[in-house]
Amino acid sequence: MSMGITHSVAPLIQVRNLVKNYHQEQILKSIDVSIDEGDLVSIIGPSGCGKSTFLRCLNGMEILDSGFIQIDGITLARSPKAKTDKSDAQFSNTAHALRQHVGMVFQALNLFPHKTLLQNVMLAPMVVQHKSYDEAETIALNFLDKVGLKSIAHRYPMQLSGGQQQRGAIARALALSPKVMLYDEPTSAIDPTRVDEVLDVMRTLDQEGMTQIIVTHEMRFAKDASDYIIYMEQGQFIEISDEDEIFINPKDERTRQFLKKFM
Amino acid sequence: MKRIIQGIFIALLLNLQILHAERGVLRWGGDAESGVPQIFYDVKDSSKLTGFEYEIVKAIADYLQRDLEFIQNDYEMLIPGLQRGQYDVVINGMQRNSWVNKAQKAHIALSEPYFITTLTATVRTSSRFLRFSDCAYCKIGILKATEHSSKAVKLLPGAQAVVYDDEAKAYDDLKHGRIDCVLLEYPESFYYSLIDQSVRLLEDKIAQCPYCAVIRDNDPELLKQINEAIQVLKDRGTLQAIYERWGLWNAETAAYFKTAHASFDKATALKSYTGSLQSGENDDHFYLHALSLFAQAALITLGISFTAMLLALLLGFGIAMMRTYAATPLQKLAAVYIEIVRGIPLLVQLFIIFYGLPNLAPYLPKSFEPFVILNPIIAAIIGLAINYSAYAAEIFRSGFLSIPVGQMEAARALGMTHNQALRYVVFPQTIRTVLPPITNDFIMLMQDSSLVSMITIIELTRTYQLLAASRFDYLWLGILVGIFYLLLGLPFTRLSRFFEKKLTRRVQRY
Repeated sequence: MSMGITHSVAPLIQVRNLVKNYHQEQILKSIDVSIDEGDLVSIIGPSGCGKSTFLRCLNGMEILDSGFIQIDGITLARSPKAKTDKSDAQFSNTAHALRQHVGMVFQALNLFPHKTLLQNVMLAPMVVQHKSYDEAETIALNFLDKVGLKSIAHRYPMQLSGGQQQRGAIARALALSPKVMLYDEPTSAIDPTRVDEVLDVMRTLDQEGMTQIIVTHEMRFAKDASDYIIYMEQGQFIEISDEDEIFINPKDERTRQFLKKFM
Repeated sequence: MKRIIQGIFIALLLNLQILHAERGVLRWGGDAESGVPQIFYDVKDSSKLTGFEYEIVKAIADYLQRDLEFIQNDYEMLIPGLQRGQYDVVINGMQRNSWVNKAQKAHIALSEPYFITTLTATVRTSSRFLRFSDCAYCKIGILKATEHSSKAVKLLPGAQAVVYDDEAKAYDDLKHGRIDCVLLEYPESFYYSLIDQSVRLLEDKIAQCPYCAVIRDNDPELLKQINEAIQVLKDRGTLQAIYERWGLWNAETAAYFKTAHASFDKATALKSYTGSLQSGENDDHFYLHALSLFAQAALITLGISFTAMLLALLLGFGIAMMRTYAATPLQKLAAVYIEIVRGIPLLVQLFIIFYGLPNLAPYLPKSFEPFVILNPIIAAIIGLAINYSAYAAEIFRSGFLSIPVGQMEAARALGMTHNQALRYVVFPQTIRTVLPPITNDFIMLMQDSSLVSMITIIELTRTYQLLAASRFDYLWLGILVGIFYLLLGLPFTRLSRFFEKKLTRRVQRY
């Protein structure tokens, strides 16, 4: 697939021939893409087109059927012939290593309800990275400050608004110092008046040079903030282009049809 | 009573090998529940055993120069308890005639008779019956595990046997007209007719019942000693004196002893029993003492229930993990375990563990013996723990499944391993969901623990039955024991509600 993006240095994320099936149905049909460090990429497209599945493949939550993913030097690869339990186990191990470099925020609000905001953010650094309590607390407060929640760090998730919960989830993911942040429709489960506070956090992170991939229905945000936009349909990347170009002058008829509903 | 409880605890602490009696102790099994006038707790002092058979056993033990240790067991389970070595001799109205044909198969030996009684019919005072044969085409109450009476009923045309657990219930039904006649051995019938004027005995003697002691057939030495003791006590007139005091000396035993039939005047023990029941002057003392016995028994109930519940929770948690998260074959194994354990009644499981396992002992190396011949308390705890682990496992499993999948995903996305995600994210959240059903289960376990009385443990319910039987007072003692159960459960329900509230407050929006 020819894409209009050129790379000056080696890209941070490289995906080649990614295929994922569910019950004989092909959800991802041979996807290729490269994403540079510091880019903010939006993926748009109709429901069920494979956006979420693609994102979940990037942090190893789904076992690929075939293809190759490389993020920050860690490679997840699978050839269609090598489908054994042993290769599955090997894949899980690599995926587990990969996850520590890739943060992810989900559509559903899933902060751990039995822990305070602060404890939510501290948990992974302590359990996964074996940081001391004090160290983890410093890190957690730092990131909670970045997302503007430091003053309510001791509240339980159920005492927070949806927007605050998603900002908390971002802080929780950032606490592991990931190279890449993935967002799976991070604003679609929250009150429309609270959407901007979440998007603002992502804008700030973009300015600080974080590599981010966002699956979203927020066209305005995609247009304003993204370095480029991917239009996806039926398991394929139909169009990858500059944020202005895709909205003003989409190359593909399918992209045009989709965007018409939003404009 | 105290001595029994102490005995159980000492046995538990020292983990004694039960088969080998200590030197100088005669371990004797009997059922003091509905045991008037054979073996029962004294109406004046409920901590003391009394009864004519108690006096006989005491005389035998004295003659053999041994200390007496009484082990309470349900009447039907007296022989299984003997077989597994829970005690060395059963002396409690054992019918020579009904056991003599089964003795070899049951690996037991029977002593010479020490008493001969007859079956006697009791009817309502108002009824027109004169002889047992008048009871044809009637409903006749008999006790469970009494072959001779069911045989006698079968011989009567049209008569239908109604089987009861204990005589108090049979007499109640007789008085209320549910049955027309109760057929029991003379001692029980006689004593009941003395305290209740609404029933009377029929004159005819229906069948002879010789009482004998029962010993394991691998213990010929004890059999010889007991036969010798019976012979000596018979010759000395000790036995006759006991029967006379209890008003039970009869022509049949006189003929067997080859002595003269004596008068009723010497029945001092009988008069003292009926006298104290009628006067009611010892009531305060009796109930006060009953209270302290209940308190002791409540500790046993609580101790067994609490330990069993802890084990059940540990085991249940493991099974639930296996059932929910393990590889498929292990999941199936856990499911099978749950089905089997839930599908078999607790009482059957207790019997298998306590009376069944010892049958394996001959096939195992000697060092395995303590693991198959279990101390009653340990058997009770294991039985309850296994039974309730299946229920606990299902509760935990539904707890695990109630946590949204997103929680596990979020934890995994943060780089936690599956086990870390379970430990730090899933399990802590299940506590709130499983707390109420688990408390409920514990209350049920505490009530089910009354079943362990079937394996010789004297806990709350059995204490109630024993005390109630000697005074025929099932109502007030019943209310008292009910209060004890309520008080035992209450702290746990309160505690659980407190924690539940505390945990819920966190996850509720305010």
